[in-house]
Amino acid sequence: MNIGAAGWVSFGSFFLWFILIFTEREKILKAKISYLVIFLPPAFLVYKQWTAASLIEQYLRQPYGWSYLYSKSIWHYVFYAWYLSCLLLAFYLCIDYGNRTKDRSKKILANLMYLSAIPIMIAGTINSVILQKLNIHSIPIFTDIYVFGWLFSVVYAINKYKFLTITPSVAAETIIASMADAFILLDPSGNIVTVNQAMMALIGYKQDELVGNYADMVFKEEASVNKIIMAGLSRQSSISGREVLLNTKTGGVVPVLLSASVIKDKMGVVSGIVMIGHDITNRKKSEKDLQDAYNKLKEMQNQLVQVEKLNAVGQLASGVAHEVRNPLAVVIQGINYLETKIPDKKEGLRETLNMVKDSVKRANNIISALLDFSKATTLDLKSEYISFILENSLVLVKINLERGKINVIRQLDAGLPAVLADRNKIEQVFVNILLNAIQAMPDGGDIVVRGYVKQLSEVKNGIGRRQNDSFKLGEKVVMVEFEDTGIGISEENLTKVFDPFFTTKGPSGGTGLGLSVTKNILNMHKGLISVTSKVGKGTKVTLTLKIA
Amino acid sequence: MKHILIIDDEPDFCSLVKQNLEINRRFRVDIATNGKDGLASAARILPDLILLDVVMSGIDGFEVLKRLKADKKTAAIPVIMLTAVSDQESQDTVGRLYAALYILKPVDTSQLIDSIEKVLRKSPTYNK
Repeated sequence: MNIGAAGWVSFGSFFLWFILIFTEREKILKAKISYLVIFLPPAFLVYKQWTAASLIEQYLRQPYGWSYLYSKSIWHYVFYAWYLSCLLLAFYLCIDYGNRTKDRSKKILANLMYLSAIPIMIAGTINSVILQKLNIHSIPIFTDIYVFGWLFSVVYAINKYKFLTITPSVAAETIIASMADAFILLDPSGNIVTVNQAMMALIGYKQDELVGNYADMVFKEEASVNKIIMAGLSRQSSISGREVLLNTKTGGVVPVLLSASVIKDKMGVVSGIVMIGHDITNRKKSEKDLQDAYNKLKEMQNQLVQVEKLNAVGQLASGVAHEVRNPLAVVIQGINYLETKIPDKKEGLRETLNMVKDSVKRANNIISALLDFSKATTLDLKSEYISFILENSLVLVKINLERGKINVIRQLDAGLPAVLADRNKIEQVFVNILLNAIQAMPDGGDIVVRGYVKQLSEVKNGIGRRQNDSFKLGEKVVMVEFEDTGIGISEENLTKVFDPFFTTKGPSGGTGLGLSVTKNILNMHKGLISVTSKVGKGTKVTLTLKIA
Repeated sequence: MKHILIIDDEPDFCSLVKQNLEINRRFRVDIATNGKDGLASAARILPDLILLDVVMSGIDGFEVLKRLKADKKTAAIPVIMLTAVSDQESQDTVGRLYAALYILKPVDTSQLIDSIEKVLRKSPTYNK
C-alpha cells in the first residue's frame, strides 16, 4: 500500500477547505454536508488506489507519488477532474473575496493565494499529467516541490500582510478608510487624487467618478477650492472649521465643516492638499429647528403680548367708559333741564346748549369706538365668502349711500374662493371703508368693489420669507379693492391714516379710530391693508386676505 | 299720573332725571340712591316703572333686579336698566332677568320718555 496516496490524492480537497476558511465562507463550513462533499471523493479515490491501483499502475515503482504509468481505467481522469475543479473553485472564491473585502491587506492576501497557486497548478499539470501522458519521462515529477513553492508564498504573504505590526502608512490608510469624516486628497493643481468611503457615501459619487476631476466638481460655490487654496492655505498652510457645501450626485447639497492643509515635500514644494469634511447636516438641521422654534415662540409671545395689551386696553376702556358716561349722563340731563327753562327768544343760549350737547355726543362716540377697538381681541375664524359679507355691509350703509348719491359697482370675480375670516369683524372693516369712501364724495360718485385671486410675486411688507410675514411668495390670496372717486388723501396724510385718533373730518366728524380698528382687525386675520390715493381723483383701499 | 322709581347711586343724575320727567306733571318720580333703599321703596310705593342702574356699591343692579322679580309684589313692575355699562355680557344677564329694556347712558330726556312710555304701554298695569 502507498500511504502517500492519501496525501496527494486529497490535496485538492485540503486546498479548497483552506480557501473556504480563508475567504470566511462560514455558511458553507457550518453545513456538515460540505465536508462530506469535499472529502468523500478523495477518500473514495484513495480507496481505489489502495485496493486496485486503479489510478496508477505499478505504483510500487513510483513510491513518491504520481506514476508515469497510467491506468487504462477512467479513474485517473476522474481524479484529475476532481483536482482541477477543487482548485478552480478555490481560485474563484479568492477572486470573489478579493473583490468583496474592503480590507486592503486581505485583498492582497487573496490575490496572492490564487496567483501563486496558478503557476503551481499549471506546472503540476504539465509535469505530472501531460508529459506522462505523452510518455515523456526524462523530466522527473516535481509536484511536491511546486507545492512547497506555493506554501512559501502563502507563508510570506500572511507574514507580510496579516501579522505584520502596523506601520504608520498602514495605520494612515486604515484610519482614512475607516474614519467617519469625508477625506479628499488633491494634487497641487486641485484635482482629486483619492477620496475615502465616507466621502463617497456623503455625496454619492464613486471613487472612479471623482478621481482626476477638478475638486470644484464637489464644491458648491464656484472656484471655492481656488478660494480656499489661495486665500487660506497659501498663507497659513492649513485652515479649519470652514463651512462649505458639497454637491451630491443627485443634485442636492451637503453642508460640511471643512479642514484642509497643504502637504509640502522636504524642499517646501506643495505636493498635495488634504481635506477633511465633517458632515454637519444634522447640526444644521438642529440649528434650523431651534431657530424655527425660537421664531415661533417669539411670534406667540408677540401675539400674547398683543392680546394682553389689548385686554389691558379693553379693561381700561370699559372702566373709563363707565366712569365717563355717568358724568356725561348728568351733563345731558342738565342740558335737557336747562332747555326747558330757556325762553324761546334766547337763541344764543340755546345754541350754546346745543354745542355742549354735540360735544357730549362726540365724547360718547369716542368712548364707543374705543370699546370697539379694544373688543377686537378674539376672532371667530371661519370659511366665509366675500360677496356675502359685502352685501351685508352694503345693507348697513344703504341709507348713507342713498343720501350721498353714491353708486356701488360690484366687480367680484365669479368663483372667488372663500377666505378665512371672522364675518362680523370683516363686515366692520367693509363698513368702515365704505363710510370713509362715502364721506370722501360729498357730491356723490362711484365706489368700485373688486374681488379677485392673485398669486403674490412681489416681496413687500408682510409678504416674503421672514417668520413674521403673513404671506409667502407665490401664495394665492383673495384681494379686495374699494376704489372711490372722492377727494383723495394728501401724501402727507396718507402715512397717518392708520394712526389712532387721526382724522381730517374735524371735531364733529370721526373719532379717528375707524382705520386704526380696521388695520387691527386685518392684523388679527393675518391679512394686509394698504391705501393709495390721488388728491382730487380718489382713493383705493386694498385688502389681502388668506384663502380658507 | 304714572309713578316712577329711579334707583341710581349718582344723586345728581337722579335729581335731574326727576326734574326732567316731572316737567308738565308728566310723571311722578321717587329716588333711591342705593340698592337696599331701592328695594324698600319699590315694595312700599309699588311704582308703575323702575329705572335701575347696574353698577352700585352694596347691592348692585343685577341683584336688585333679581330680588324685584323674585318678590311677588314687585315682580310685575317693568324695569328699565339705565346704565353706563355697555358690554354684551351685562345686557345678556339683565335680559335673562327679565328687564324690559336696556338703555345706555348718556341719554336724552326725550329718548328716555319715549322708552318709558313704550314699556308702560306694554305693561299689564298700564290702564290701572
